[in-house]
Amino acid sequence: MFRFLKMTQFFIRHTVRSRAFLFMIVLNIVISILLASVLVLSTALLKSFVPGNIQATGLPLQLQERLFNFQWANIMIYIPVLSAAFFGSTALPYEYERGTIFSLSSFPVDSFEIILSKIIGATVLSFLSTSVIIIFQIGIFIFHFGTIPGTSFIIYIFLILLVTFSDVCFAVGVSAFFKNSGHSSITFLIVYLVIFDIISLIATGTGAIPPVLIKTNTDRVIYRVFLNADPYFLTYSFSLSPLRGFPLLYISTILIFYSLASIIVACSVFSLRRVMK
Amino acid sequence: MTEIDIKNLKVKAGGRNIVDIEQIHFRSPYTYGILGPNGSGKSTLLKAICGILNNYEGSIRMNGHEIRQEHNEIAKITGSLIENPSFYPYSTPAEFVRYTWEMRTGMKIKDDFGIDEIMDMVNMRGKMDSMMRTFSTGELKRTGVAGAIAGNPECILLDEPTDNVDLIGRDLIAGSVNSIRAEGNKLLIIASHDVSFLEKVCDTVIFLKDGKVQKTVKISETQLTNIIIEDTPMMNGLENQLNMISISGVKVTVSGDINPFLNYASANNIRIREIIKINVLDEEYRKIFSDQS
Repeated sequence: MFRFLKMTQFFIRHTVRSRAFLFMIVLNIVISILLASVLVLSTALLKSFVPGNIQATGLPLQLQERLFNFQWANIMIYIPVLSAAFFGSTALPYEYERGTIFSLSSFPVDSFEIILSKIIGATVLSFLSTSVIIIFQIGIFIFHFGTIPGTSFIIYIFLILLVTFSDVCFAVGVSAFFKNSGHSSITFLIVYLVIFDIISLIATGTGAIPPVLIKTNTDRVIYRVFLNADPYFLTYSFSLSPLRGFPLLYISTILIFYSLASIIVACSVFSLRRVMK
Repeated sequence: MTEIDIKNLKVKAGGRNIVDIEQIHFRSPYTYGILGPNGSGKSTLLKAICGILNNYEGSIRMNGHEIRQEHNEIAKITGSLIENPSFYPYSTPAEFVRYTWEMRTGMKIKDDFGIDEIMDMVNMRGKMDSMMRTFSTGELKRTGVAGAIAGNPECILLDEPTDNVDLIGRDLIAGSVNSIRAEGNKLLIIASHDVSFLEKVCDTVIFLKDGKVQKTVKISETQLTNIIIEDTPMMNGLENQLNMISISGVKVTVSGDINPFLNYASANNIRIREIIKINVLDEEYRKIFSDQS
């Protein structure tokens, strides 16, 4: 346990000082400022998200809140993915690129501890950088609506943390196959943004499996269903029909399943590559 | 005492034997050099010894324990610098050494105990709090040596510690290695193709060619000096006393310390024209590897 914590701490401390982390923080500040500008400077943009007949009568406060959350969550959907591409999918290949994999491998630690330290470290780093947007979001919410966000915001943060963890696990799982950070990040993004969408289309077309079981869709459901306005109202075509009962738990279980599967893949592949064959 | 026994070790890659060693025995407190050109199997041998390569046939045992099966136990008493790591650019040597120390021993260091001493040993005290991204190759190598000795391991493996390092840097690394040797209780194994460096820091040098041991040479036996004198005095019976191994006309060949001979010459008015150090390792290296250039 001590060595696991030490590895995690060292990884976080080193990466926090890196340009990649600084870049993500700056990027998230820019995104937050742009989103804030959208709200403060142009209510017309806010209204553009709803049908014209509702705009004519003015937007009720509750709906404004929902649309505010929708706007932020609609952008937030990309942030954990980008963070995972930055911190998760580079964590292991970085050790190969710097040649430090040999010293890491020569320590008395199991592959599982190494993988888990990278996952926890990258999740903390991703959430730290994502929290810039969350802080802006809370601040602007209070400024605009004159009240603090409700308890649903705690669920919102919990869900973002869960999605971030799941994305990072998946990114580390993909990265276990690579020794180059660039290749690893690009492959992760291609799998996440393209391959999963193709699988989703196939799943929708054939009806073989519920589309919600595809990770990209699971993440989207989290953002667009649990975090903001009514999906049907916003013509979001996703069906939640298989999710009656405990949809939040169901969705969380899917993400946890992806996380565990990614950890198992990462550990298996890294164990084979760590000790050279 | 730390001992490593290698028996019938074979490492194959691409259908050929990269390492094919019948037997080697290493023991503390000696320093062993593995000498050979690039591709001779030096790094592979070190990787196998430190447990990060396990596709070999044969046996590597440290203090009786098979390294492949007890990697974690062996890793606690082995420090290594393998290949050419460029380390963590946004960390300092002090942080790296502390990290390596704590990872190896599994214990937290209190008040940076021992880190200053290690930094002194590798001559990096002045830069121990600087980010490593600003370091030269030599400074990175010395930081690597510091990492290898952190946590007081019984066995230290250094792979090409002077690769891409300038003359001054090499001298500093040699000084660091000799500081470790001076502790008198470590087993050091250094793989390098730098003959003069190994000559400075090793007790024994093993020549490795195509993965096979070609020759094992004790450094004490390679320190030969030719002394050219003005005439040929009678020195029969003094061979052992004056470390002489041959007299040929006005040329006397001395093994090891030449001071007894110089003192004798001074006391007996024997005039010395020239003292020539013979690089035996260089000669052996040329003989063994001449076909690979």
